[in-house]
Amino acid sequence: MRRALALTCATLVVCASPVDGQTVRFGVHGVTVTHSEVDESLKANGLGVGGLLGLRLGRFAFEARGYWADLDPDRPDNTAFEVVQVDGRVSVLFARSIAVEVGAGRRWIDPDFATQEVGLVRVGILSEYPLSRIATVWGRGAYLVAPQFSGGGAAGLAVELSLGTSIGTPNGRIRAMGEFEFQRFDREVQRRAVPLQVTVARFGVEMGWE
Amino acid sequence: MTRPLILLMLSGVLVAPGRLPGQEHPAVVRAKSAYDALDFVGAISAARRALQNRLDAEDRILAYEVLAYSYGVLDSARQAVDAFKELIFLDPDREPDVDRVSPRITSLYASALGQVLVVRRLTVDSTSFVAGEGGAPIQFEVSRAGRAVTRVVGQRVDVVVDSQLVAGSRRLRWEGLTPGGEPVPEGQYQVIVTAVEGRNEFSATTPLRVDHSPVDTVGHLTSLPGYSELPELESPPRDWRPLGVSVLYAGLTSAATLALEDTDLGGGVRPAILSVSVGALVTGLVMSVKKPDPRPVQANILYNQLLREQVAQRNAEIAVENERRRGQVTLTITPGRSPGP
Repeated sequence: MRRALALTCATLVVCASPVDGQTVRFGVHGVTVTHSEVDESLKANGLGVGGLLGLRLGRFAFEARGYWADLDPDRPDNTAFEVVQVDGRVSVLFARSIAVEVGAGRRWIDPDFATQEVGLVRVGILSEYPLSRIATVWGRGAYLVAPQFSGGGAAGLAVELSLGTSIGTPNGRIRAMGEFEFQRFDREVQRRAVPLQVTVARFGVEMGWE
Repeated sequence: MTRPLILLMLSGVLVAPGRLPGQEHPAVVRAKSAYDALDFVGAISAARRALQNRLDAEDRILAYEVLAYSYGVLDSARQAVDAFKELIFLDPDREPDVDRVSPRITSLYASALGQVLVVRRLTVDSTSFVAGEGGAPIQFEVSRAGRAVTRVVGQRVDVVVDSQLVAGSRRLRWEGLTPGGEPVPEGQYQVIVTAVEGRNEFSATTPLRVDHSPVDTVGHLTSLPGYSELPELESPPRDWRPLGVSVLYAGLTSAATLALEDTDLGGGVRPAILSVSVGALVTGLVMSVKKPDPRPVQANILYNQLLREQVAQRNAEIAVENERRRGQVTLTITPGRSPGP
């Protein structure tokens, strides 16, 4: 798992070089994660770090992001675990502030079976609105298509919502950002509801080059 | 007008010219003395005797003047006119002062002037001009109708400026060019006007000096006179849209999240969504309250671009004009004193 995180971070750093006609964005985040499964007895909270690499070319944008967090359960008799989440998104702007977004994500858990590892494909909408030359607000909503769980089962409803805001320099070189991300999986295993809910709040600094 | 008054005036006219009495020839002095003593017959005799001597030009002029005025006083019109004609040939520009001599003498002078061919009042005005683009005014009068040929001579240049039939006064312009079209060299020149009528011919000259100097170049423009650039950025009025958009985004996302939250899983969503929503609202509020960012005004940008193109085009024309001017020369014409008769 840590190898995957290191690989992701290395990719972010190596790829963060500007190319003519493109905007490259690189960021580091601090994250707070709340992970709940089945019921409130399996709730865990923790802090971690994350990173982001964004690439924008005209109407198209690509974003890769990930985080690592160390989660402690609310109940001491449950197992603490680490989580690594990696997501990729491709978006196409089709209106002034609205883009269609598709992507995939993978969440690893260590130790194994402490909770569910998840693989997912997302299809959704991204709306980003410039409040001024230096500030932006955005929202996301996505349907998570046929998520896969390490413990099996299927989710009839799986959605993802997020809200973010950023403020930075007029040239876009540096900006501070905050983002909230919420995932809900109405997972069922053998007709038994075992829902999964993850909340991630990111706060960080991003740098951009044009 | 009484005779003593006329005599007093005549005396003043005779004394007025610039030479001191002691410099005049004694014979001329005697003639003037007789004239001043109202001995006009004696003045005529003395003047005639004086003219038999070798007099310089000024003394000859004075002698003929005494002679003409004395004949005029004695009503000897033909002799007075003859004396005036000699006087006019010697100094065409010298004429009785109408305010100080009797009209009869003035009319006798005019009669004499109408019978001779002379060039009078030849003058050149001082001026500066670019060679080939201006000229020095030359003016003169011809006492009778005749062909007047005007030449400028000096510094190995002999240019015919004008050749016209002239009756009365004539104004013309000398461009300061050689026959080859080049600016004349610096130095002293003579303007010679020769009037010809049949076998009669008379020439008058006046000197002038020509100096060269470079032609002033035109300064480049930084803006078009009368036009100024308009501001390309304009601060719009305060706008609450950022706050409204923030409220919309935060409200929709928070409401959707809270609606989708599975409360059986123990919460933990609200602090996160609340913190980010507050951040978004504060950002929207700050962006609404702070002075709006200046926005480009396309119409003004296009206007300024047009102005800059005009200035650039004008400066290109000025550069061409200056290049041309660097090959030119300014001629400064300074008239000299006319030589004595």
